[in-house]
Amino acid sequence: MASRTPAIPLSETYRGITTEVARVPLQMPARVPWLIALILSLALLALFLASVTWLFARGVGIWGLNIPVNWAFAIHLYVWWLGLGHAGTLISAMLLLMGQDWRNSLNRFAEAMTVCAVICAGMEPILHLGRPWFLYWMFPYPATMGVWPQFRSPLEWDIWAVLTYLTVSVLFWYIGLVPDLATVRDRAKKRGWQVFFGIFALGWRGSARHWAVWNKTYRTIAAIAVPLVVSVHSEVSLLFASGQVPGWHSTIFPPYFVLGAAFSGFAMVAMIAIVMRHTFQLGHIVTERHLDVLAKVTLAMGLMTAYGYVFEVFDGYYSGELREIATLHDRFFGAYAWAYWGAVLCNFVPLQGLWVARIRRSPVLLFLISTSVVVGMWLERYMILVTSLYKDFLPSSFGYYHASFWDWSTYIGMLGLFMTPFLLFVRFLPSISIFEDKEVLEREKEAAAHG
Amino acid sequence: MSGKRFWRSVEEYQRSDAFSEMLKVEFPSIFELWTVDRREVLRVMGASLALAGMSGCKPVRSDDVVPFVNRPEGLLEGRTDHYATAVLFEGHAQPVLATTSGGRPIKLDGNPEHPAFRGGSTPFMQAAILDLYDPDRSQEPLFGGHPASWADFDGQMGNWRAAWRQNQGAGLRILIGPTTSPTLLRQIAELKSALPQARVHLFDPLTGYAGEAASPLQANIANAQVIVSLDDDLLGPGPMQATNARAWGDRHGDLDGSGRMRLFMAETTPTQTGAKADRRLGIPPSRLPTLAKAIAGGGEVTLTDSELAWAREARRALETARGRSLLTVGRFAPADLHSISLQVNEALGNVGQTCEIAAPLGFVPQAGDSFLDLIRDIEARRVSALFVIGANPVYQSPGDIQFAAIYAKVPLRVHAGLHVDETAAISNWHVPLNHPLEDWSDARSPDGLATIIQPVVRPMYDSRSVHEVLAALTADEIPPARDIVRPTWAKQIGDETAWEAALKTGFVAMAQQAEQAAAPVTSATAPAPREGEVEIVIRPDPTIHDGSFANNGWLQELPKPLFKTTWENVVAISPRLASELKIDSGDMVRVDSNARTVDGPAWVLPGQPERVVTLYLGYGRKRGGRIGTGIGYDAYRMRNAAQPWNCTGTVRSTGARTVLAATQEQHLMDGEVEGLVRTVTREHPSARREEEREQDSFYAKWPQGKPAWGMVIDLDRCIGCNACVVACQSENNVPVVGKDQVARGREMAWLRVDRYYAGDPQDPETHFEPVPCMHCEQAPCEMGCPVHATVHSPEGLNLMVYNRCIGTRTCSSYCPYKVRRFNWFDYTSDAPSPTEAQRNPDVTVRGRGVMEKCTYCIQRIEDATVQADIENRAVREGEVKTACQQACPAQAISFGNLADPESAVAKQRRSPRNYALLAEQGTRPRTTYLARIGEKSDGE
Amino acid sequence: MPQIFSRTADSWLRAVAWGALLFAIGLFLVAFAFARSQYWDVVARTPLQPVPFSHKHHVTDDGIDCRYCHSTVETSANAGFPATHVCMTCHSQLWTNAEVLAPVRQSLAENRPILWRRVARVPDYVYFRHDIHIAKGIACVECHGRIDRMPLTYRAKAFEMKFCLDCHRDPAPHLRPRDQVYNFEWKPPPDHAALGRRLMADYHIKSPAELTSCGTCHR
Repeated sequence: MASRTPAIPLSETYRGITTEVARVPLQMPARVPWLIALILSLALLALFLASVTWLFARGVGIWGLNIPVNWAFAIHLYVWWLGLGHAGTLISAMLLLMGQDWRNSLNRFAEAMTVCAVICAGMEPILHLGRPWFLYWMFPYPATMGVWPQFRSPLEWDIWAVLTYLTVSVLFWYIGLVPDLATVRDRAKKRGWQVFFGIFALGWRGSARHWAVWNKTYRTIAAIAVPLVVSVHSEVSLLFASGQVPGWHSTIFPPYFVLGAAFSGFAMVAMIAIVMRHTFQLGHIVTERHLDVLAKVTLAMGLMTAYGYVFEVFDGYYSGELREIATLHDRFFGAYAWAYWGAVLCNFVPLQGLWVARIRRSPVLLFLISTSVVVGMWLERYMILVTSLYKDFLPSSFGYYHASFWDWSTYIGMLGLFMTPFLLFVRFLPSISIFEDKEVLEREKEAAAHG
Repeated sequence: MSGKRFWRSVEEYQRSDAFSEMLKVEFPSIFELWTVDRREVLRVMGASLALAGMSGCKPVRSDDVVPFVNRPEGLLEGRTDHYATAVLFEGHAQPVLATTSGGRPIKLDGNPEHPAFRGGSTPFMQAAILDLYDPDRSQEPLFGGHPASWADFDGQMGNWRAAWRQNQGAGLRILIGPTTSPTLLRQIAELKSALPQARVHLFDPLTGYAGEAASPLQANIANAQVIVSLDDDLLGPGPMQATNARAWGDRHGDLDGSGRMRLFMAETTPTQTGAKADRRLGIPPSRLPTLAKAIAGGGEVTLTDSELAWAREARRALETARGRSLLTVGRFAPADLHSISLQVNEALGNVGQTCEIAAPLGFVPQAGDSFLDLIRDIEARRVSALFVIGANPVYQSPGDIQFAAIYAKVPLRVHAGLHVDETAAISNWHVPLNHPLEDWSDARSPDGLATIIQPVVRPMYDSRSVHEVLAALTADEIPPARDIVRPTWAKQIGDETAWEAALKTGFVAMAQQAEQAAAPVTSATAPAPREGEVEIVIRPDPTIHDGSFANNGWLQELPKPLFKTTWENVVAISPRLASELKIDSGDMVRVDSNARTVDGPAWVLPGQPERVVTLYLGYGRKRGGRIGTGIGYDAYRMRNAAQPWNCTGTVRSTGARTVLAATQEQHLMDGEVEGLVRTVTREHPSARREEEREQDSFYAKWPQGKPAWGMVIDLDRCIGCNACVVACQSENNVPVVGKDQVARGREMAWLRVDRYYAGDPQDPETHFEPVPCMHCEQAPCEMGCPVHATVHSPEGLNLMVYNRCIGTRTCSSYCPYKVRRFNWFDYTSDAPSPTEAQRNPDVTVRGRGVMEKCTYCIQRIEDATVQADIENRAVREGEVKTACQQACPAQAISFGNLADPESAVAKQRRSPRNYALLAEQGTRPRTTYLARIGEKSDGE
Repeated sequence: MPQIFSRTADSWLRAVAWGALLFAIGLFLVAFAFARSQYWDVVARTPLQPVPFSHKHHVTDDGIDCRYCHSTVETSANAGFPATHVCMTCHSQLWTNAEVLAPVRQSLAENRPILWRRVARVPDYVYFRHDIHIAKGIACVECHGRIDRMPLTYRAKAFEMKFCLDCHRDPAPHLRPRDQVYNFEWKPPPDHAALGRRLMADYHIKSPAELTSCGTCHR
């Protein structure tokens, strides 16, 4: 352990960490870039609202959907967003329980990112409905109709998956936040800030009893969250695997989807980490070591996802099912081959750079690679959905899908829905866990002393 | 049986590059989004809400009850009534049974009592109901294009009548569309005796402009064992389609091939008949006469080997079945072929057996009273008044006659018709005629029987019967149409009870009254193409026909049987010629003949003779109504009066490309799909495959309910005519969505007829396969729905509960047959009151955002079930007929209770020919197919 | 450093938290109740009719059979509304110039229908049939309530889907001998359950599975 470079340089002081992090909400260091970012994302948000208004006014026909391809952007983005979210939970919960110190500088904003991503993910299936105003029929409530939803349906599970995931993520994130809110409250000068943070700090005094209770709660929720990481995306994958559409009807899907999700998620975290440490000069807290570890995890996840790709091909041929093989060929050479090869290219080629330590520790390169991964996973979801649907069984009903203007505007606008709350979070809340980093430092100093 | 690859289009067969498709703009321009907004939908559904006649005088709220003041005898609210009457096709009666609900006709079906039609339908017969509710129908008399009243018109008529009485009708000409109405014929005769100087000309663009008579040989294929058809599309659109199809059905789908009819088809352009023929031959028109001679014996020199072989085999077949064979020649074929067929059939002793020499049923003008004679007389200023009745010469005249200009030279021009069409637009007077379903008339079906047409609804507009208009030429007092029609039948149907009976049964036997001999036939043989030229064949459009159905949304959106395109006409060219010209389906081509040109989208048509290009009539209307106007190209411009069906010219690509609204996408077809349509032989009748035998399962068979509804579709009988598709649309309130939506893959048809090709694209096998919902016993769709909107009934129906659907579309994603349709927009609420009046009250009208699909006509099942339940009995065999089954003229569809071993479906299910679509998916479909019976099976 | 919050702040926070939770629950309960309220189900409301027709008078006082006016109830999906001349068969003799009957006379004179407001109404996508229900021994009163006691007609039962399903799931308790279908005074015998079972058999009532299959009412 000691031989490894510490997550946080020993030169750091407890006070130093506190000041550095707490300073962000209290006296914003990078006002201008932040404002620019906010304005941009608000603009996107406006685009989103416009698109949704038009969508509800006219119907899903404004998208490029048709029979056979009656699922496209809304569903593949639902999968994509949810995937991005996964890293947050993984880092916070799983690594917490596994006592991985390095997580402590990353978990806070990773969780925030998760929350935003899950909100976006949750929107997609609603927008996708033909009659969204009847969404509540999917909930098992005692209706005057005297009928219940169908619990066999993967979509029914979806609702619960997303809701559970959202609730747990929010709770986990907030509870983790409480002690730091207190810290910021105490350091706040202005009355307004004091009250604002004060309320959300729930009167935290940092007494031994507080810590004891907090610890129990935090770890319990972590324990709840961990299985979710696996279950949520497994379930989402069944949305496809339950149908016997060639290219969907495969047992590989659950692990394949979960790994892909974590893969894109870690890439996303890396991107955000790099941007934040740059804009807010948090270089001492989000150190190169952190980037290094992130990169390694991303690489690992990427390789496992790649295994999924390989196995999918093997699966197809091994099945001997004519249509499975046809779909496979169609992915390689068909009309949407660009999506398949695009995914392969973006996901796995730049990724190989991460074998090299220097690249792992270079923020710029890591950022580029992560971006390519996020794009790659976007393409993969699109590919899985469309290439399977557009040619399924009867040649008479083959049909192409072309994304319409509104497909794109809804998607791009949704980036605003993702960014706006996140920006507000980094502006107004301690986006890196102060006390947890102090713990790390403490432990490291101990190790150094005895080492 | 394997190895044969089925394919649906030449592109697939030649594996042309799908990347071009992919490279199509991923971002359609934002303006494109507007093409489907209200405007389009309105246009398509035909939205004129200005129909006072339809709604009551006082606004009726949705929860108002409007009881009768005096309840009519025998009327039951909430029940439907049926009336035997007829609609017209090319002037011939198509006997129908009209279903009315609450006093408004909502559906037409073939009259089951009629000995020739026996309940068979055609797409045109089914769609005629929509013409009744066409919001673009002419609604009031027009003078110089301005609204006028009948009073004004009658006033004018008075003066004209006076003048004609003076000069015996000199200068008065009547140009009348094809008609077989005995009453109309009587009226014309009376008119001629009253005004000897007046002359009546016939305008029949589908027979010819020069007064040609239709073939004197009336085929009756019911008795034929061998049919050799020279370009005669027996099973295609035409007055006899339903009767021929019925005969065809009776002689097919039977494994012990005793009664089976053998069909040889030599065609100048692919047709449904060619698709079903046992021996098909594609041949350019210029060589058709030689082929005919070869069959008659002699003149074989100029034929290719394949043609010669075909001719010899046909000849042999004809001779082996003397007296039971038939050599028939298409109505579009040159005249001398008709005489050849007459000789041959007489020689073979077929006349009187499989065909007879019949006097024409319809109106035949005297010699010298053809359309061309009229032109001549107008030019010679011999015409002072021209009444155009039920015809549209301005649109339908051949390109070498500028009729609009000639017509203008007539001082008094009166047009009577259903629409304010191209001719009405340049007439002094236009007067609206009643739709056949609105007033009394009569007409003769091609088999010779007559039908007295009784009205099933009061005229919606201020229009009159054609009989009244004609009567007004001579009579000062115009009796109502019934009083004009009734006397025609005074001799034959004396007392009122007989009259009542005649109306109820819907047909009257009629003596073939001896008429004057057919006018001299003048049409010339097809000209041979010069070097570098192609032969051009001109045909009526498969769904819009001669253009008279242009404003019918159902027929516009009905996929053409062979192309599967909608909403426009195409230029059919052969695969070889296409690759020679480097064009693909959808590329615009320019056809040039006699210095006249048209531009149209090419369609690479398998089986098209190599250097032949086919143009289709009926499109390019200028005054065709809100949906019929301005789509497609006008092929009439390319016709010549002397030679309307053939010419020669050149074809080249214009470089432009259009998006065709085809319901079967054009693209690569990867993977193996053989087994979707199967062919068996009498020697090897089993279509079921080893791997498809019932798999053992731990689960109980499900559902077990009785009755167990099921459907069997006989591919040996199906002729791909689409009657079932229109019937379904009319029965189930299926909306019309317009070209743009169809092009986006959003057509709503619950029942589609898939078309597959096999073999060499120059001479392919063509297969039709109707695909309704399979009502799988293990339905993948049901598993996906989160709200139980699609569930299984104990009787085995896969139910779709519209009002529960929230539109997740999972069912359609999971459906292996892709038979589900989604309401992407609000397709229904914009419909005008006329269209709404046609809707079936027993079927929910679906709103935006819900899925829909074939229900096996559950409303009919429920009706029968309830009736049986009231009488405490089980539903009887044949008590439930689905709309498609009822419409099918070839009896290819049977429906019933599989749990009853004696039912027709259960029997057919036991046939070795029975197979399920995608059986390997384990869906256990309730809809299964009977393999086609061929002379060689798949793979051989 | 001065205290930011007063000493009661904590209690306030808890109060708010609990309040929010209770409010959410309350909201659900209100919605739940509203969906079952007479208001929402349009029950017991008497719309303004062109003529203040009293079923009580015609059925109870005059003893006119339902079928006299609703003549197609046994033969058609619709029970059928009386044509004006049906009203006039009596009222050409009785109350010949009563003010309230003016619209009826006018309707006959001008041959223009009387526009009644429908009271018992199911949505368009529900295909209810009177004939089969009568044939299977379901009495008028089952759905229309004690219409024989209504001076002005109103909807007696909430026509929610559940209302239909309750009976379709277990018809036996609602069955009665066919000849008692129009009898509002009919009292079930002590062994009603036994009667129900017997009638289930006699009338060949279908299994709940069949009766509750969606296609029974929705097409």
